[in-house]
Amino acid sequence: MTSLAPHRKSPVSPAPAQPLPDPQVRKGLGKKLHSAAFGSLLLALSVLVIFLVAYPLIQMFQRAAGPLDAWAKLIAEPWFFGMIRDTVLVVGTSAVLSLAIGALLAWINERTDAGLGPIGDSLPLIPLFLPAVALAVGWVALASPKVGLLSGFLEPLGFQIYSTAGMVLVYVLLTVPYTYLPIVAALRSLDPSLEEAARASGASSLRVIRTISLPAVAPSLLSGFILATIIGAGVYSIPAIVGNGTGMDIMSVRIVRSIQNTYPIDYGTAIRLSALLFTALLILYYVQHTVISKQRFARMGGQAPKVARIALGRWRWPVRMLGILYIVFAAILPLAAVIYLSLQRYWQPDLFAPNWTFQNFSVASAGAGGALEGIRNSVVLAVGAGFVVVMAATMILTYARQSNNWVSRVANGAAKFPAVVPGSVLAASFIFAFAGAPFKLGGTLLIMGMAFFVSFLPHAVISLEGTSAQIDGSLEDASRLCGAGAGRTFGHVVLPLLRPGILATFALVFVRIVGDLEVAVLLGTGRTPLVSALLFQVWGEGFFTQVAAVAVMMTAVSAIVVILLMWLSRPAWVRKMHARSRKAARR
Amino acid sequence: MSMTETQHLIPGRTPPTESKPVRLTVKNVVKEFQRHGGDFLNAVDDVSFEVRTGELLVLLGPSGCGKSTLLRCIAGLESPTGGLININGQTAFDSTAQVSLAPNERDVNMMFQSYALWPHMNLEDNVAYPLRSAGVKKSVARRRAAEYLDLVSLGGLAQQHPGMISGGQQQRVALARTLISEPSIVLFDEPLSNVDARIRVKLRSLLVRLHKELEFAAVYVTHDQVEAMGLGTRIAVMRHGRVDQLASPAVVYERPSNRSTAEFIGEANFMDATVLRRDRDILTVDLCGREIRVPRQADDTGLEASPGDHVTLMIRPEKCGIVPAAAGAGGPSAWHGVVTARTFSGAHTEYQCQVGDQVVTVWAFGAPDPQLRESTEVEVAIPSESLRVVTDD
Repeated sequence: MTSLAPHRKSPVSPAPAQPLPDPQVRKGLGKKLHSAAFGSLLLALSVLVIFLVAYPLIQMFQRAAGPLDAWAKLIAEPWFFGMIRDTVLVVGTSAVLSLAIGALLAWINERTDAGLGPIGDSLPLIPLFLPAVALAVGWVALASPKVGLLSGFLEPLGFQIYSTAGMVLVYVLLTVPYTYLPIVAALRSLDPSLEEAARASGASSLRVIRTISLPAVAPSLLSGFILATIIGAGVYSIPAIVGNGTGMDIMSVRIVRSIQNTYPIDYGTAIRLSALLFTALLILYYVQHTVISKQRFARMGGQAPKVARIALGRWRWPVRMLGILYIVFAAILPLAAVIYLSLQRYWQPDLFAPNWTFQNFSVASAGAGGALEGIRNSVVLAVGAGFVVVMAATMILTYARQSNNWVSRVANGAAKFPAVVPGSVLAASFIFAFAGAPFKLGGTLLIMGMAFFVSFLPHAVISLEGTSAQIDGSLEDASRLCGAGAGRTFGHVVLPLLRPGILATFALVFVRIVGDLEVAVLLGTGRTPLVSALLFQVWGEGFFTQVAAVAVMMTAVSAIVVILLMWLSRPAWVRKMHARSRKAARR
Repeated sequence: MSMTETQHLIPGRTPPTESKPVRLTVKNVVKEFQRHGGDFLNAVDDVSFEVRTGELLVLLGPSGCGKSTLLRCIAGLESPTGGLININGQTAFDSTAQVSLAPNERDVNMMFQSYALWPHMNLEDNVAYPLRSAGVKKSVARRRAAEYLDLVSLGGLAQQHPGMISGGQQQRVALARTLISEPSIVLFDEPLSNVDARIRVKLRSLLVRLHKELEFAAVYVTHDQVEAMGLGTRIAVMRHGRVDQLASPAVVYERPSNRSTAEFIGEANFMDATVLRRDRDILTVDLCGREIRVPRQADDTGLEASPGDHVTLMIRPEKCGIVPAAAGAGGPSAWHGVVTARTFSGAHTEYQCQVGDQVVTVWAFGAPDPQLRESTEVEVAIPSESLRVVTDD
């Protein structure tokens, strides 16, 4: 001890004070190296992310640039403009509808007394945790002409799934969470006193929405719309399963088919269509970016103030039903249909003449390698890629919290950029970039893992950012001032606080990987089947009840993982705090 | 407990702090910020001071005066543009020698405005954290944490989580955590601003008591002048990133160095006067047509005024006296005036008086005098020994 001051005895403690190690001893080269190592690790990670994003896209554009007459030939194809029309119609309509529904649900949950509390807040997010393939199969089972389980009820209304309306319905159900989330976030950060001031000035509820709330959340409406467009434009499972019977010509299906179902493989078409789709979305993204960066809203910090919720009176229950209806349509009905169908000997619409059997689940061991192997591959990949994605996102965010330098900004930007790249385009570009020489990764789990890494990193970063934003920077400052180094601060303060967000993000990524069809179909092969690709194959063979069985198994695996992670993500201190705030709210 | 410690606990017997070791030296510290437009602004502009053991230096100033930035520079959360910071003999920051220690390498701790308690740790673990970071064994750290929780009267709540206790309790936990590792210098960033007035008073007295008992050296940031007066052994009044005045609370109140300091701390009357004569220790001025002799002190900023100059005189309203004109005794320090407004505020009554072409505010102890109504002719006493010449900037 070289401390200048003699150690005082605390007047309250009879025991001599524990001599503390001198700060001179604690500091030193070690810590500096440590933080430098973290920085260079981040730099390496950023370089990797940038490479994995940029290289395939550059390759794609280089090939797509090709001779001009190849483009002329593509545009001259008899199906070209029909495909553009159909794609814009389905994706555009569903994005608009999804935006309307997402905004309505967000408004109900955040600003009216018809919300369902904390459960209601997360209700619209449930479909995120259902594999998209299961959703599509479920709706085919429900609303197919004649044999659909609800066709007796729906067909007189003029609705059946193999139609534009049917396609749009499934697209909307899939994309609502993506429009709901940014709007909820915007409403939460919008000071409710702005709306209350308008109401106090004599404006009606509708006028308040039109003149105050809507303009304030306009940027988030735009982000929601663009996100729904990107997801809709990139999704392959829904048009492949539902669109088959409609004659609608959807771009993502064209891209996949020109690689999958043509011989010799029509890479040219796939690459040009991908480039076209990507460019269109990039322009949209750019528009969103400029609009948002022009509008800056004062965000409030700290605790959200109490919101005086609009009392809906007799409209409360009808409005509340809208939220419940969404969940019924997006999760409960399709899931019930899939489960029911998986237990039937054959598919017939009469619910009251059942022919129960477990026979369908034998698909687990039969078929192409058996669904079990597919599930195993999917789970291995989802756990592996999910873990890497979540770790990378955590590192990028931790670094961004600590330092706002160009490394952290580049890493953040690179990690979020792939959100603009639709899944099918990404998978297609990975084929050209990595399947052949010099990488020769075609058909391996690694190439699929890489594609999953790139395509889900943005979701992970954005989802974790939400949790991270709730952790005040002073918590880390306090730890540093209490003498803890960067490592201890990360391990003892940041990581435990991020834990709920990390586990929820992991659950989200896991489910999305298990349910993904674009990467599985384009990058997978018979050697390494994924469960979703397998399901699609059985679908092609026409064994609907077996398809349902595979979908049930897939959903079950997802559900078990999600429930397990959600349970783990609520540590004791969070549960206690919630219990306390609930008690306080009741008083 | 040793003899010297017992001595410190007796009020009024605190030995002069000048003999104690210097815990913190801040020398010519400058913190430059770039504004959005691109021009530069000195948030902290050439600030220097020392803090010794047992001293509690209050940085007082309006929001945006750079006091929090300065505190964060001392903590190591922000890096100054220039200057030197020395903590307990160890150079924590030196712009010329390119030294800048991380917060965890400095022998400081800080209590945050938001308390910054970690919600996932119980109170005991929160308080024990600084010791655990320093490598103290878990059982020892816990025992010590329990003692400090007792010290802030939270002994029974060791196993609770921060989310489950009240704001005032959270504050005391934060205080215990800040003090437990006995840092060379303790920093406070407006720690009392987030609770209601009643709890604030309680915590202030707890802080005063602990400061006496534990004798730590501290820098305390606040914009509340009452808090500054009650807690500080010295007050540094800050404005535009600079220290306007650095003195004991009494001196800052009685003899503010300039008009803005006088305005910021308490109420004050400002009167225009013209210098007639300047002697060695007396300044004779013309105030509303009458001569008055203002004592000059060595540190007066109005020292340079020469005959014919206009100066501003400051006097606190409670130093002035007021009697009905009829009862007035005249005298050299009595001015004739008229009451223009009267406000009762509990402990005192405020009278606004028109004296010549100037308005003088007078505080009289207790309830309004029935003889002193509005438009009553009065005699206002302005004792020359309470007058002070202040600069206008």
